[in-house]
Amino acid sequence: MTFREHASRNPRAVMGNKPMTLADHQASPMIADPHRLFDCCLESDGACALVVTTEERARDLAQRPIEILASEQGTPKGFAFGPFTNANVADELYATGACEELANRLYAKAGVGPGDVDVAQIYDHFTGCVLMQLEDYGFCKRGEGGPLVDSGALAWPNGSLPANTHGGSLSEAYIHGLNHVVEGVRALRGDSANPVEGAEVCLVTSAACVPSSAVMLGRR
Amino acid sequence: MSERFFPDTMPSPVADATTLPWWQAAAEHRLVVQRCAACGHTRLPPSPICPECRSAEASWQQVSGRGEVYTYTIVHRPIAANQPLPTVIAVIALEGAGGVRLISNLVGIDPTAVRIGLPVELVWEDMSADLAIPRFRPRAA
Repeated sequence: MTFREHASRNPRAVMGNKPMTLADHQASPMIADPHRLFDCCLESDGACALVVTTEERARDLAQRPIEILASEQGTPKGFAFGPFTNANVADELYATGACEELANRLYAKAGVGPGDVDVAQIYDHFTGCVLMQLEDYGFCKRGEGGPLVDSGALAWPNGSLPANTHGGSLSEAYIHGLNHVVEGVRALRGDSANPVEGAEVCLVTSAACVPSSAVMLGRR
Repeated sequence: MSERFFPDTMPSPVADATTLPWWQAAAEHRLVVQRCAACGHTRLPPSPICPECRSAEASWQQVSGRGEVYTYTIVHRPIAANQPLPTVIAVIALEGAGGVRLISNLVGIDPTAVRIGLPVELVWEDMSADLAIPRFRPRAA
């Protein structure tokens, strides 16, 4: 519902003119328990692009450059691609997004911590995976992802961690998360449909519960 | 032929060089796990190299097919025509398999009665003359 509300101000969002109440969500058909239709991301045709270049060249470009503070990829042991592989991961990883190691490496490399993140674009293939990532990336303790979202933390403009300010894969479009990177750049340039005032650090994550990656973007 | 739980319309698995021995054992109603010849680590799904010690040598160890439900979901949308709904997909912790878990279906149970820790046993479903798929059903604890 939070991401759908964000999408309402984003002219690119597929679901921009389709507001959703809790009752709408609860009335949507169950797909794979506990995920209902509106817990699953969209299926979209679309494209987006990024220009990645050196700081020196970026200085001469028309658009304000945004810095890649750090990027990381990887997966804990036991995870792999394929439908039958993740059943054998370690017990302590089972109910997580398996991104905690990756997150810790990303924070260390970027020289920032969860408290420094002003805005986040969190890969939202399914709503449950968003909750697990909030825990993996250190925004709350294990098992507290639900209450954190319930508190309004992800909502623009007043939440402590405005997230998926474009509407995400649930409500903007499913461009496999590259649209989250584009939105991360917009969020720091200040030209997002839901601009977070003074934002200097934006976390962008990729899929949870599979081999994953993430990037920390920064504005000087 | 065995008892049938799913229609012929269900998509069939495609074996490759790594998984073929597993499917051949299944066709003979033997449930096996892959066991590393070097370090003894057991694994599924079959893979060319041991994730623990990187040995490429392995053998196949038959297991009883007894186990318990590690986790599960109840699926309400079909992937094939005439699929019985809801379908229970469960991760089965196999007994005597060195901790290996297998994703399969639970059959012969009211979906609302499925619980984590439910004791289950193997039941083979012959989809054709050369394809048998292991499913699981409740057993007395």
